[in-house]
Amino acid sequence: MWFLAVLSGRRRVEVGAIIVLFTLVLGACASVGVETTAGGDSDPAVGNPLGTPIDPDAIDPDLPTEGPYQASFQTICGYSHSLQDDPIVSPGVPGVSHLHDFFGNVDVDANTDYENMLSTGTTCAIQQDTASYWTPAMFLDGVPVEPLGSLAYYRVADGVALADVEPYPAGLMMVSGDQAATEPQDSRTVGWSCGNSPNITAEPGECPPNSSVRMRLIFPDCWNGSDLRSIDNSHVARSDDNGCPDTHPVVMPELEFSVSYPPIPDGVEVRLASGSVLTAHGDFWNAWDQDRLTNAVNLCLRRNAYC
Amino acid sequence: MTYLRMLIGAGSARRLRSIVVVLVGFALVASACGGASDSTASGAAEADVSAESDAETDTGDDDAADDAGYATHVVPDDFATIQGAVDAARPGDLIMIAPGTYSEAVDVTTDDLVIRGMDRNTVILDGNFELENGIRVIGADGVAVENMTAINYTKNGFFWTSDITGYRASYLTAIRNGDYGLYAFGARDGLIEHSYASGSPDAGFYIGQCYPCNAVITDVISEYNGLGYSGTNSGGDLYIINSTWRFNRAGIVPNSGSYEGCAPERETTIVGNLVYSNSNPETAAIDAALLAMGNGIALIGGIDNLAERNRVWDHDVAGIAVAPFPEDNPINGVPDEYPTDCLENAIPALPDDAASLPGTLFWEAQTNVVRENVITDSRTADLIVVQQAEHGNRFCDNDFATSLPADLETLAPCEGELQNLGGEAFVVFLGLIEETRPPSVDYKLVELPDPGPQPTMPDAETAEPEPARTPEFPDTTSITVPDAPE
Repeated sequence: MWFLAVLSGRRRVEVGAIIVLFTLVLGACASVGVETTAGGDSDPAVGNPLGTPIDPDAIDPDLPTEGPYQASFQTICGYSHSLQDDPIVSPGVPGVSHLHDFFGNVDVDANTDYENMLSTGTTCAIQQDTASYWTPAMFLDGVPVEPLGSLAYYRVADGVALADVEPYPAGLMMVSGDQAATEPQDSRTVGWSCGNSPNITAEPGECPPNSSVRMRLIFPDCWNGSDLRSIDNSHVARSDDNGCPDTHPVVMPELEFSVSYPPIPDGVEVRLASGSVLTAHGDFWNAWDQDRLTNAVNLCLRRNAYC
Repeated sequence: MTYLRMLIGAGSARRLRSIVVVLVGFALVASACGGASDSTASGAAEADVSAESDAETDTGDDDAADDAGYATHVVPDDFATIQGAVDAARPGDLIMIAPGTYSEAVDVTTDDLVIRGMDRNTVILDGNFELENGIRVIGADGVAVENMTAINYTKNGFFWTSDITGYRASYLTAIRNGDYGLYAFGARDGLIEHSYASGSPDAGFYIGQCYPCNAVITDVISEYNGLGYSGTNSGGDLYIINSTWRFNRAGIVPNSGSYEGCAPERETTIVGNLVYSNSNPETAAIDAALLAMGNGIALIGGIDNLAERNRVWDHDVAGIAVAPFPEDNPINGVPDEYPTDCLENAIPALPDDAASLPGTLFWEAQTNVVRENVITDSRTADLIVVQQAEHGNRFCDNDFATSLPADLETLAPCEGELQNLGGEAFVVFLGLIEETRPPSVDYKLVELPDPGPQPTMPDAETAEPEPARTPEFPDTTSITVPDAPE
C-alpha cells in the first residue's frame, strides 16, 4: 500500500517525539510538588488526602475466587539517577556495584535508610510512591542509555485469593531475575518486549521501526512473614495455581515493573551493566507511604477493581 | 484513551504521527430528604418542614435514616470531611456538602450514594495539584454526584471506574485537572448532564471501555481541553447531544484501540451539538489531541456512529472527519467478533498467552453515517473521509461547502451504491503532516477563561436523592440543528 510506504519513510522523525513525550511526563512528575494552599475562606475541612482506608472485611462476597483478576493499580515512574550502588546487595558501600538506573525515590543510594526514603521525593506519578526500583544500566556499543521511563503495575496473581492479599511489609527489599544468568530466564518472570506488546522474549527481539524496548520484571508475591531482606532472596517466593507455598504464606501484590528504553538501532551491541541481556534483573524496596499502599491494596486489589 | 498507556507505550509517538498522517489527519434538609440534619449553618433553605422537623441531628449512625429510607449526612456538620461521610453512609444515603473548599481525594465504594453540593459554584474540591481525583467511584453501582466543582487534581475531577452499572454526573464543574474533567471507564448506564469541563490535557468528558454503554451526555460545555470528548472502545446506546464543544484542540473524538478492553468503538450517536473553533493551540494537550487538532467531529477507527444535525464551524482541518486509526505495536488484533456485552478491562496479557503483532494495526472507520449537519468555515474541507467505498461510510443532506473527496455525498450517499472515493484525501493529509503542532501547555499554567457562575441544581437542598439508574434515551429525531450563539 503506497500509503504505508510513505508512513514508514517518515519514522525517523518520530524518535524525537517519543523522547519529548517522556520528557513531558518526567517534567510533570518532577514539578508536582506545588505548594499547598488550604482553600478558601470557609475552608471547613482539609480531609485526609489519602482517603480513609476502607474496611478490609467489607468486601463483596461475590468476588471471583480465582484469576485472572482485573484488580490493579499502577504508576508511571520517571528515570531518576544512576549510581554504582546497590542498597540491597551492598548496603553502606557506595560505588562497588555495577551501574544501576534508579526509578521512583530520588535520593536513594548505598547509604539510604528506610526512614529517610519516606521523606524524600519521587519520580512516580503517585506522589506517595516513594519506593525505589532499580535495574542494571543498558549500554549500546558501550555507551549508557538513559531510559525513557518505567511503569510499576501492581496486580494479583491468578492462583491466590483476593482477600488474602496483604500490602508489602514496610521496608521489604526483593529482587527479580538472576544477574548472573547465562541462559534465558523464565519468561514468566523476566524478559523483553517491543513496547507494551505481550510477546515477551528472553532477549530484545526485532522490533518495528522506532519501537521502544522494554525490560519486564515480575516480582515474587509470597513472603515468609519474617525477613525484610535476605542474601539470596529466599525470604520471598512465587505463587502458583495453589497459591503461596507454606514456607512463604503471606500473599502480596504481584508487581510487574517494566523499564522502557529508546529504540535500539540495527547492528549495535546491547549489553547490561550486569553482563549480557540475559542478566536482566531488578530490585524493589518498598518505601511507599504505607497507608497509601494499604489503601490501594484494600481499595483496588482486594475488591478486584482496576484503579 | 488511557493517558498512561498512551504515554508509556512504545507506539505512542508513532501512533501520534500516524494519526497526523491519516487524520491530521485526525437537605438537605430537614424535610424532604429525611430530615436528618439541621443545616442552618450551611444556609440551606428553610424548606417545607412539615414532616420531620423534629428529627435528630444525624450523627452518622445507622439509625439516622428516617421514614424515607435513607439517611442524610452533612459535611462538615456531621462529618468534618466528605470522605468521612461517604465511609459512614449506607446505600441510598444522601451526603450534603456545605459551601467551602475541600482538599480531599474522595474514594467511593458504596452503592447508590448521592453526593451533592449545596451550591455548585461554592462547593469546591481542590486537589492543589497534589491529589489525584476529586471524587473517584471504584466499583460501586448507582452513585450520583451533583452540584459541585473540582479543580486542580492531577488526574480527574470526577471519575467512575471498574465494572460500574449506574452513574450520574449532574451540575458538575471540572476545571484544570491533569487527565480528564469527567471520566467514566468500564461503567455503563450513565448520565452526564448540565456540566462544564475545561483545562484538561486529555478530554473534558470521556466515556470508555463499555458496550453497550447505555449512556447520555447532554447539556454540557467542554472547552479549552485537549479533546472536548474522547471515548475509546465505547458505544452502544451512547448519546452525545445538545451540548457545546468549543476552543479545544479537537472537538468530539470517539476512537478505537487494542490497549483497552471492549474494542472497537461503535454506535455513538452525536446529535444537536454546537461544535466550533476546535483548533485552539493554547491548551494543554496529550498526544492524540495534538494530532487530531483542528477537527470538529472526528470519527476515528469507529463503526456505526451517527453524526446528525450538529452545527459545526471554524476548524483548521475538517468540520467532520471520518478516518482510520493506525495503532502501532498493538497488543491485540481487531477482534474477529465484537463483544456484545462488555465492561471488561484489558488485562495485560501474561507471557504465556502472548501474541506477536509487530507493525501497525489499522482500525478502519466503517459504516458511519454523517447527515443533516451544518458545516462551515473549515480550512481544509468541511467533510473529509479518509476511507474507501468498501468501508461503507455514508454522507447525505449536510449543508456544507467543501469536501474531500469532492462530490462526497454523490460518491457515498446514505442510500444507494458507494463509488470509488479516490486517494485525494490521503494526499492532502500527507501534506498536512509537515505542519508543526504547537506543543502542549502545562495544564497547571494554561490560561483558562472564567466560566462565571454555572447553573446550579434546582432544589438542591430539598430534592430527594435518586441513585443513578439506566438513563432515559433521547428521541433524537426531535432534535434540530441548534442555532449558533450570538
